[in-house]
Amino acid sequence: MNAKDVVVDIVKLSGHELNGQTRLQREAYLLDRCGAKFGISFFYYHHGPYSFELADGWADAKAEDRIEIKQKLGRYDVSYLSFKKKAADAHPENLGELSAADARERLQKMAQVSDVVLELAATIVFLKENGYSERPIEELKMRKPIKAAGGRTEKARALLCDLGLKSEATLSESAAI
Amino acid sequence: MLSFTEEHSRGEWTIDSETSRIRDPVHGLIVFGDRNDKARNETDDIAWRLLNTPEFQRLRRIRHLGFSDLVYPGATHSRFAHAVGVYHTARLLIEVIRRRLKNREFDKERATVALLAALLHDIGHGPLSHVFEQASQATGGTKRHEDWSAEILQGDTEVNSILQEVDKGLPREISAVIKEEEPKDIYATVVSSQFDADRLDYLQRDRLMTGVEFAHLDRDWLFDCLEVGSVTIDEDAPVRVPCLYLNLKGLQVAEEYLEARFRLYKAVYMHKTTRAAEKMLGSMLKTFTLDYRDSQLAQQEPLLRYFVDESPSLGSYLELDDASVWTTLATLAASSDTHVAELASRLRERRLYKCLDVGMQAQDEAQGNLFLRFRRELRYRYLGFDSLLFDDAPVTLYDWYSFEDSSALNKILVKTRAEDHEPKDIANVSSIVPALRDAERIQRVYAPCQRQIEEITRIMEEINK
Repeated sequence: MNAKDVVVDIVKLSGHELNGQTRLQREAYLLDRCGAKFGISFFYYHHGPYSFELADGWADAKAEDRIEIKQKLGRYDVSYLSFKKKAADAHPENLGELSAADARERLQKMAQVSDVVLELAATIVFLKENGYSERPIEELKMRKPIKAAGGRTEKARALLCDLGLKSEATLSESAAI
Repeated sequence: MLSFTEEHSRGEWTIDSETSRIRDPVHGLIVFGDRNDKARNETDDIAWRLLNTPEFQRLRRIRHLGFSDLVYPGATHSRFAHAVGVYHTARLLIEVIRRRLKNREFDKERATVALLAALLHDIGHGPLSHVFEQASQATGGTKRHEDWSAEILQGDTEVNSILQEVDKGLPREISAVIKEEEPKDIYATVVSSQFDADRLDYLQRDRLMTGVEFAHLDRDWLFDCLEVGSVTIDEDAPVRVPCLYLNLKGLQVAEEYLEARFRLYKAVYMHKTTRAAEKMLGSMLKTFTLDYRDSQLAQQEPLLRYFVDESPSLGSYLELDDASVWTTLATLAASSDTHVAELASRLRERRLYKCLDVGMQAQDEAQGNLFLRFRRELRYRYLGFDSLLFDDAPVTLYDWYSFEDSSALNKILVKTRAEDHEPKDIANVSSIVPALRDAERIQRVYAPCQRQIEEITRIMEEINK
């Protein structure tokens, strides 16, 4: 599946609007790992899994007028991108190898958690698959000592469980450390 | 918890402040050890021993600014010099913290960890510094230099032996500070924040070595305006923690500091010629890695072996330095693949791709869209599209953070009135910083020759109509 279609379809299945480029990146990554299998590469960038192909994808989708992207200011004057679907496009039947219904359900679950919890969840999976298979939680806490505290790591693990990524969610603290 | 070994606590130093010193072009004489200061002797002794390990000496063979000497011939300074400068600067910042905090509040062990992290923060850099990381990413590599630094600290190395001798937990504690994406306390801010020893050193060093006349930093005044206060972090579970901040007299110099970084990014780090070389190296290694993974040639050079190996070892990484890149370029210049051979020859001889600067214009909606449309049109209309390289990157003055307020320690903090409860983010105090938010974006196309640049310029003009 090309990155441009991934972006457009995720925006559509998110209720036609999605706020935040890193949120889009983390959601795409987790959907990929939930079985969508987009076939695009993710690196550790901007504090979590990030795909340059996906960033090119939304640029292309915007250039082709398939989505609208606006730069907005949020809390603390932090700027973010807001993605909006264009009216004419039809809804997808599938998102990669996931059915549209499956993907929509997972996107709804991800929409309910904060950006930080989503970042933590995506990072746990990325670390587990990229060099830290034995101790992703320990590495997470090392990299993000403040974000990973205050019960947020537990919320991230609960999200992974909800998404069906049970092996990541049930990593025991002792096995992880 | 750090517990110095008996040898260290007895004060049996290997260091001699009359011989253990380095003449530095930025900071003058950097002396390791002070007969009158036991605490400083302890840390300086470890630092001096670390400097003399093979892993640290490798940094002498890695240029701090990668390909920048293609534009600024004086910019041949090494990561080694920078790392020593960062250590020296970190000592000054830690001294401010020590003097401003009451003795019982000053955490000597955390200070030592931060100082050694400052010295070792770049030990995992690959050849040509950031150039290698970008090339590595272009070929699918997922390890960052911070990951390699942690491996050097915790692996089978002399650095690890020295640190373990001091305290078994020290390699891990220092690795944690190097890997932290958000400083967790005032000591970690010295190593990594928007006002850290790293930036304070490289802004001065890169300015001096490139020879540019702008981007001056009044370091003495900056340090004189530094105070220690406290700031609230983590909105979910608020807690006040000590922080470094600038008093009102430091606002102007803090703006100068940010402006210096902004100017250096535009004129040095993102220079169109330097970026051309970086993009060319990335493209060459990507082609090689994709098409020649199993070739005999891939086993000839340490650099190529590294790139075709799916899981390169620490040993193979430590073999790499700038010389390995230039040797590989000589080998690849004779390659049978015309694309790879052409790029290698061009890099060796500084026959770099030509640039069409689409504009360092304001990053507004219309202009951003124009570049995307341009790129798309080129893909459909220009036959030589595959030979083009693109560069699209923001140049920002200051990083705004999105995570509630856990990032307060990462910000540049200023207190404008003594009666203020807490210092504020410089973005909320300065009139200059918000004005330059997302100010510019580099958008460039690189092509092998001027004729192609003229062709794509015509396409650009058509789109502009």
